[in-house]
Amino acid sequence: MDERDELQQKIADIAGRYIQRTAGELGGLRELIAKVRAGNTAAAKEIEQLAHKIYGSGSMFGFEAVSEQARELELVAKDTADPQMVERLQVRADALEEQVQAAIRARGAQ
Amino acid sequence: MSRPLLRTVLYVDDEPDIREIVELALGLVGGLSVATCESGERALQCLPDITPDLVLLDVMMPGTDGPTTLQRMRADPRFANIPVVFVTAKAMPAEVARFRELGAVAVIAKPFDPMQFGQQIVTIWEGIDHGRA
Repeated sequence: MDERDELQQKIADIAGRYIQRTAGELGGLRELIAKVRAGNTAAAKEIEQLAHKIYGSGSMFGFEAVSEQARELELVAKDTADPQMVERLQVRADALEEQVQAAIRARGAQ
Repeated sequence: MSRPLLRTVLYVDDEPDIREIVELALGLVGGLSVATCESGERALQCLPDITPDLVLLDVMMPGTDGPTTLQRMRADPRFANIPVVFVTAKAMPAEVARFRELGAVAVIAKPFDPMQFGQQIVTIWEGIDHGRA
């Protein structure tokens, strides 16, 4: 195995860790949405940052659908003037979780 | 004027998995030492010890973000001339133009190809006018 093959293998290992860690972060995302619902506007910024991180990293590891849903979530979290923001955050968080679980299942099936 | 060697790179990103990828990817470039930091604030603290030839900054980080880190580097004579590259998912043309205006020598979009990343960095380094930097 040359160093490039080794790099590919390590990236695959990191990707596995990444998607599991992202699944763990979704609980925190739910808590942040609850805070926004309770009127904590700073929590929306935290959601935006978390979603941006998942968006940027997801595509790095080939989780395009996860990345795409995280991008949608980031855009919703940015739009603090939207009166429907909490509901839209919830919908996007559900969609993101679905894609994260699908990615985990797909890796398990490989 | 001969081009200085690229010996040390500092990569700053709050995402640990991406830091690891960058370390591995730059490991393919022979003779290059790679340091990483998890925040802009930490990078500013570490710069005097690391004295990198090139700094790679994520843009969106909690606390001191990439653009603020660059501005603070430029305001400090010790680091003002260290070339900075942004590595970011925020790579729309208007954003890239803004980062260039801030003084970045280049912008690399995420996702990047880890297999090509080292060569990308070397190419950017070779394209820098070191007489002016």
